[in-house]
Amino acid sequence: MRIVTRISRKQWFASGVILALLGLASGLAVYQFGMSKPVATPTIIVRRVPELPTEPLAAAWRRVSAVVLPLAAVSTPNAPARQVSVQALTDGKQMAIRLEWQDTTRDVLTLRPQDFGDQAAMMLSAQLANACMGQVDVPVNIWQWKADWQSGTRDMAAAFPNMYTDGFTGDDGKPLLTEDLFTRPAFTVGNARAAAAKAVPVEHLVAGGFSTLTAANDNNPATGRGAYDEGKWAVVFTRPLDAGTPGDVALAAQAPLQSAFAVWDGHQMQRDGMKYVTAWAVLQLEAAPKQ
Amino acid sequence: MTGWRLPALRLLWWAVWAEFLLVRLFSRVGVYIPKQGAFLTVYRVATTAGETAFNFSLFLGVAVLALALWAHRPLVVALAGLAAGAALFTPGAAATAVWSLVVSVAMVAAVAGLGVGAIRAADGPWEKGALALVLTAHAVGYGVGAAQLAWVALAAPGQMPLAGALLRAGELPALLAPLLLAVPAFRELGGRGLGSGQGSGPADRPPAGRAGYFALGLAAVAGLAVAYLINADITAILAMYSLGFGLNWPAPFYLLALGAGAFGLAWAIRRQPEHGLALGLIFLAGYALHVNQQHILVLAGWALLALRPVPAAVVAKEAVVS
Repeated sequence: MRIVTRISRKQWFASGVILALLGLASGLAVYQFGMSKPVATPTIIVRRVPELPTEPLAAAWRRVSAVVLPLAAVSTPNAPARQVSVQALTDGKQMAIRLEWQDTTRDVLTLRPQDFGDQAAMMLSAQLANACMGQVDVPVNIWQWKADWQSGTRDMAAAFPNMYTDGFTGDDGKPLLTEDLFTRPAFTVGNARAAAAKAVPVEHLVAGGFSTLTAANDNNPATGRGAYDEGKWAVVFTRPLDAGTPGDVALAAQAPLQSAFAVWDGHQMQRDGMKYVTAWAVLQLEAAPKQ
Repeated sequence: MTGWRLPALRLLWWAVWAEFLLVRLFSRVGVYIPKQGAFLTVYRVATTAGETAFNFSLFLGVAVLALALWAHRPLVVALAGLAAGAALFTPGAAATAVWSLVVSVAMVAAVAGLGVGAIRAADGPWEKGALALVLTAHAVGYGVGAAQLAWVALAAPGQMPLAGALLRAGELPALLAPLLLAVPAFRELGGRGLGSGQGSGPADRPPAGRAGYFALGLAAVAGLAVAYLINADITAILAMYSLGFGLNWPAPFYLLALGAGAFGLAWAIRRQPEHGLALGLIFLAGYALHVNQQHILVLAGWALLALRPVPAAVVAKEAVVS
């Protein structure tokens, strides 16, 4: 009781205010009422155009505003990618997002174990989520373009021009094995990752927290194409504005999305989590013109 | 009201640390922990505690800013209040480009105004220099951010010239500032005393446990060096998402800055708690600021450094006069 009487009214008041704030803070956290709001951050505006340019080097992209996002980099002896510039357009049905970054080497062959291809990815989320693959209540969509998934980049003869397979053909020159099981086992058994050319060089992934990253290529709404020119990669991702498949986020003018981008430099043996990433940026759809 | 500045600031300091450790660092390394039930439960409890710390630090940040601005000139209060209000009351889940542009411009104005005042009020040339460098980093960050937002809002073609180079360059003054901040502490460690331009007013306390501060700095350097060596890529990702640093400069810069920052800050907090904690808020907010709470921390930190508490007698006198 003596301690209670020693506490002044001011101290009681202060303690009450602190406890009330702490209770409010924890209540908002438990019920996941997001107090964290991105503001004064880079914002990519998805401008409306009558026709979408889907080719990465199309002249139409030169007229579109680009947002420069710094990449988190590590000190490497090779000149790393330092920044990625992002442009976005929509025709009202689809959106196209173009990434451009410097890369001194074009790495598209990944047939040898020591080879790694260049890649680019973008992550979309309806709310601010943890960087690591979103959260249970905040799913993210990821589209990952892979240079070695574009046509003609898994040609054995191009990778090994002097290749000679001893003992796999008979005296008549015909192959002894009807299937190339020994030299290309993954391809022969139908492993999708070993296919010579993909219809779409973009993998569609959904995630709702760490260890939940799942390929959703059966209903892949995303397409894309990359082009290398003068020491730069340019990649265009295209997707309908509406959420086509479960787990996809829809883009609407009144609800900006969170977006983050990553690029991989195959020359530096980057793959999986070894990559350059940007911080979150806001993706805002330009409002439709009034009729 | 002025008597509440320091207790509120201390509480805010620990709330921001809890948020920094649990939200900005722990929640993002969750990908590497085992996925069994108990680990997941601990992870969820820890991240919810982190979210609580975030919300609490946001509320306290506003309160500390209000206490710092209490009874000061209306122009200063309006400048900082406008920036804080715009950062807090974002329409929708995320700010649009135009709203972000308004906030960026308001933040540039408020931080520049408060920053100049903080440099004037700083003790000695080293601290003035350190604050000038931090102010430069903030001016570059907000300035380039505002320019890019205007570029996009006006639909200018292509990318803004030098935007990436400027943003990377802005990291450099942010890294050099802790080195200058640590100089007085190093001089003290070497037995040179405070009589070399550092204030020695009644608020100053003689630094104790100097070796402990130095060990703190060394531990910080060792921790970051180990992180670099174990997994440089993840270290870069964490640096980007926790403090907005891209780690584009050579690694020794970051090691030195972290060591000097930990050492100098601990020394500054011991010597003048309010001053040191205000600096700490600015450093913990980061370089490339992303969410509302970080902007509030920056405003509160600069306001505390720039604006001395107005004595109650002066407030009462002014009230009588008016």
